[in-house]
Amino acid sequence: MAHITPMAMLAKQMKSNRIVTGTKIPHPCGDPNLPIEADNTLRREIVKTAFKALQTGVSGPTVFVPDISYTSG
Amino acid sequence: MALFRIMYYVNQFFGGIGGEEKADMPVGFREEAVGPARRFQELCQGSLEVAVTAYCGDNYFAEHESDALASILEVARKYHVGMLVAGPAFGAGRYGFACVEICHFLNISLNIPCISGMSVESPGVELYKQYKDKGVFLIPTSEAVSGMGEALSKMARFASKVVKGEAIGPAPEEGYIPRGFRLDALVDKTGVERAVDILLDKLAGRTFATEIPIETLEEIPVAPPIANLKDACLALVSTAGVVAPGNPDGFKTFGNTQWRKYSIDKMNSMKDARWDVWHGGYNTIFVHENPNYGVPLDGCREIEKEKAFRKLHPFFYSTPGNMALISAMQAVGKEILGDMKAEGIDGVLLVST
Repeated sequence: MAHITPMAMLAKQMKSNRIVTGTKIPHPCGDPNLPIEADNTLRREIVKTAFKALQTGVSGPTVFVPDISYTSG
Repeated sequence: MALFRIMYYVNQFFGGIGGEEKADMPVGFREEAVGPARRFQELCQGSLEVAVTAYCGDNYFAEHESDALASILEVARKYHVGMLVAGPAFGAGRYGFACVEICHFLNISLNIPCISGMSVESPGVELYKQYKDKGVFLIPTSEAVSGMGEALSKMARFASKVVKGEAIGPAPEEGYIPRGFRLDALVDKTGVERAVDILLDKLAGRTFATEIPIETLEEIPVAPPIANLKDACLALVSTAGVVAPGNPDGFKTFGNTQWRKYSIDKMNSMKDARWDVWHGGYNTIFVHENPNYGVPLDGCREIEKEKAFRKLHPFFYSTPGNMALISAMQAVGKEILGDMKAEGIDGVLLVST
């Protein structure tokens, strides 16, 4: 399981093992402030990072950050 | 006045039957106090009487739990006991589990208080916190049996209080292991004043106690990575509160205890259907306008077309996650997992707000 959440540190405390940093609490997968194309790209990158996390071996709670610039938290 | 009658539970060792070689022994009963039950009864100084002692092999209980529980319940009914006391089990794993299972079962079946004792490190304690029964109390004991005297004294003191029908206060005052309930209480100072007091104590390096201890969580076993994503069926789960329009399943916006799965078959985007957003913990306006923010179906479909994975499961799982009990959410998680295993799902994307 890959866990997409804007509150990665909280997810870590909750012992989630594969954490993907999402955008913001009211919109974890994307950003309505962006133009629609950029918003879609951001969401796809977040999902792709989750797929990468699913294929990566980890030994405990690990945070994966999407390779695209955005503000999280 | 007739004495308050209780049932006592011990394993084969404390029942005086034998050690590991007798661990397969089925449940038995004696109409008297046996082993630690005798000392316990003495310590209660006539406030109660052990009407019957149940004993059982540790392995037998683990392997025939429902049969063992059924016989214990039948005998508890027959003797009209008003309380069950089990153990103390100290650090013993199987014994601790059995004590908690019996306490839980008799408490919910007969609505009688149940008391046991064990080390806080015992795996039974985790189960106790999950069951979270209002009428079950675990008294912390030493890891080793050498602490028997102290354990029985504490259990007897606590049991005598319960027998008298006295109100049982919070865990730190009464000395039982906390179950995670927050009890109402009248206090002189407002929350603001108490918070500032705690802050001042903290800054000055004085000892202080939080009013809201955070539950500490066990490590979760790490799932191995998916070796071949191209062959994997993946499912989406969301706690963002995306539910069927009009919330026909009756989800609560906080303290939710259930889950549903909704079809996303043949949809390319969450915008292809109508949804409601049922969540009391964040501003839902954005997810309402575009539910893909909480259930990233459009992004998943694009990647599915690139054949990065075999297919997306035709349903997504929803459980609004806000101010819910960890134990309730763990139960929801287990149920969803059971459904996913039956559906042959290999991996999960969980979105939480």
